[in-house]
Amino acid sequence: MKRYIVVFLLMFASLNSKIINFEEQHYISSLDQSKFKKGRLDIREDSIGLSYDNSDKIYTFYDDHISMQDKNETKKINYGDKIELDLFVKLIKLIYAKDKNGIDQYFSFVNDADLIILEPKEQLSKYIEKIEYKKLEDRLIYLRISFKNGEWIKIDQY
Amino acid sequence: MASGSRLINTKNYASIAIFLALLILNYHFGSFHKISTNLEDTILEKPKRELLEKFNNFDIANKLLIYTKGLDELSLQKIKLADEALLKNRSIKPNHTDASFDEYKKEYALFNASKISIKDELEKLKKKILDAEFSYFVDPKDPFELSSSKDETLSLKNNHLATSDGYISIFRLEGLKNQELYDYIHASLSGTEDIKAFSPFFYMIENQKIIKDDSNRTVFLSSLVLILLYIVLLRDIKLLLHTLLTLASSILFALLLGTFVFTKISILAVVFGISISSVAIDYMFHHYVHGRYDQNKGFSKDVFFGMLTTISAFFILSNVPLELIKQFSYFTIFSLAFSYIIFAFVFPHISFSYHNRYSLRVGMVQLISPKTLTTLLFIAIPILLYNLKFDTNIKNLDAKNSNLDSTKDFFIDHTSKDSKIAFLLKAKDIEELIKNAKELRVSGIDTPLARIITKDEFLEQEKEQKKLKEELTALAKEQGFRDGYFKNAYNPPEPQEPSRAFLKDLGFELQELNSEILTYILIPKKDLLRLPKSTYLVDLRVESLFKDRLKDLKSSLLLYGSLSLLFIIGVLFLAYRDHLFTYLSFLLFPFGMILSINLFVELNILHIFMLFIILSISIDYGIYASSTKLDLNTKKAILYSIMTTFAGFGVLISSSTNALFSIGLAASVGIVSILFLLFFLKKA
Repeated sequence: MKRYIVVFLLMFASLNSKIINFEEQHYISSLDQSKFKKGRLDIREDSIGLSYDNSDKIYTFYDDHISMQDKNETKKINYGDKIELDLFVKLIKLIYAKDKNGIDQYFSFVNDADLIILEPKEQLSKYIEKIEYKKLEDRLIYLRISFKNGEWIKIDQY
Repeated sequence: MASGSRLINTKNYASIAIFLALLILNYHFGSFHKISTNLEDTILEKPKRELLEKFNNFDIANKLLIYTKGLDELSLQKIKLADEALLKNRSIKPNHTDASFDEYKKEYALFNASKISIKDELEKLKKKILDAEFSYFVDPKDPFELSSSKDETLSLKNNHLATSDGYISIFRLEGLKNQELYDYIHASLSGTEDIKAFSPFFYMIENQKIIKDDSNRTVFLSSLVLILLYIVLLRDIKLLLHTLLTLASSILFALLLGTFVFTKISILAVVFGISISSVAIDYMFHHYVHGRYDQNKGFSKDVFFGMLTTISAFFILSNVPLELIKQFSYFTIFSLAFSYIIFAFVFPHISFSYHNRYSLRVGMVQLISPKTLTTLLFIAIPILLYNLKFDTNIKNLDAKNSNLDSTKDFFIDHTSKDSKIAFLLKAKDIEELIKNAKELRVSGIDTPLARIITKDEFLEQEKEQKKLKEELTALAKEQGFRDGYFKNAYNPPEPQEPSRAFLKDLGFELQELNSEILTYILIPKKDLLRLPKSTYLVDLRVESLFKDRLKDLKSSLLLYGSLSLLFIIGVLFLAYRDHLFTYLSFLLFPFGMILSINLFVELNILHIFMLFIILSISIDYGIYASSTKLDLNTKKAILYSIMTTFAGFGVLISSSTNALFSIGLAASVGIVSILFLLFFLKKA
């Protein structure tokens, strides 16, 4: 899910760009170590593509489904099957269209100057502590997803 | 003269007076409310019925499931609207899931796990954490997921329960499960496409309707056929009205007495009684066409013996230890006896004039000699008996409700990987109940109850458990896990002695019956063969509850059936010594023909029951047909009688309730056989 949120936020930050490059750090508390990955977001007219370095998986997000392609096959995934992907789409709608419909069932919003904090509701609050991001005009300064199990993911656009 | 016409007028109202009196008595004693449409009420013995009732009180038997097709936004909206509408009803509550037992299972997971390698489990866990695309959530109490069920097909999507292809809601039903609730649920969901609903109580409501509709149709059709016969053959409206009132009175009389004998009367017995009343018309026909209602000819020996043999056969068969057959028998005895008394002793006083309005010309072919037919039947019947196939599933007698069956199967497929059967587990105390569950686990049938750790088990395995925990702490460090990461994992408190309150706190449902404790377990169908022979498990499927009795029932049905035959033959020897082969033909030919139904379908207990009933009716025709006074009137009476009997029973073939259909089929085959004999059997 983090990737999609990250992608979305990066996309928001670089609204006029077609390609957004980003780096993510995932801190795993159970092993007390971090994973680092670089990824790319390709914003097109009718879809959004997402890929990572050193991975043959490419995700393409359409209005009604997601396509997951690797070297062997292409899979069609329903948004209903993956809550994180559904969340991602709803976040995109929130950012691009400032439309809170759909996303407000998952989060409540707190604005603190430039910082936007999303506090999860109901089921989601069992897993996510909060999502926070800061932007300067259209540019994302940072995004951090904090999990209940002590893990966190930090995204930087470069 | 004036007093004479007053007397005639009074007698004309005799039938309606009797009818009204019986109607009032039935209302007074609440007989109509004692009619049951539930097959289980009359085929199961009281102890098994009680067990079934106990199970029906468990929460699991009181669920309501709703499904909307698709996992899209529209489907989600549909199910949310349905949830909202349903929860407005006080009897429909959200399904509660008890987390206490989940916590308990986690704490004691290592006790219940079969031999595990801590090293392998740690490696698997580490891989999952590192490979996770988002974040892998580890349960601190059960990091290896030893307590999780592998049978879960439901997941959570968009904050709602979901299957692989749609959303699902589960509710708990409280209070009365009646027509009103059924209507509310269906009204709440009507107009929504691609939505399905199921609750076990739907069977009760829908089957009741099927049986009621069936019964009404049967009554309507048989009445219609009888009225047509009267109009075409007799054309005597006065006789028709009195006869219909008498038949209706006989049903009311039988219902009234029946409710004194039984706590509940099956609607099937009532329908059977209505059909058998067509036999009672025979008594009227014989009296009527022989002019006994307008000439003082006295007592008819033939009709009396016809009635006596039929009633006696039912009386003997009433000893069969199945309440449904007892009810059929008693209902018939009461109904026939009442009709006979009215037709034989009241109708002559009302006085009906017999006019031969319809010229009956029936050619009797009389081709077959009774001796030859009897010989052939003595060869054929043993062959048919040798190949007899019996339908052991008593549930097959119930109403066919294939729509609900397929909805039920749909929900079973969508909510569980394996189709499961509910069993009752019983014991004298909690300790024995858990012991029984653990015994099942030894046979490979794992149930939640078997996961309860007793104090003895705890002490026995405590040392080994501590060793595993130490191993986990040491190996976790080697694998790179943070210090103390598993400190909350697998730390069971010392267990308390399991008590009823303790099990209830964990979410187990318990009930008491005759100083035994009951709970239910669900066993996958594929594991049924592994079930050990035990006295503590009760299979709750009606066919299984009944299966133990089936052998006894079959033998007692054959015993009492044979006894009734012997009785009939005895009566024949005493009253009608001549024409032995004719009587034997009338006994054996319908017998063989009904048995031959077995060439197409398996015979059930009601086919067998009707087999003996038809014989008792058939012999009446044998008596009438061999009568030395066989004249045109007797022939007419026989023919009218058989047509009305056919009208009574034949219409049951249209029934979608298997019990009634079986009766109708056996009776129709029997009656056609009798008709065949009347036409083709040579007179001695």
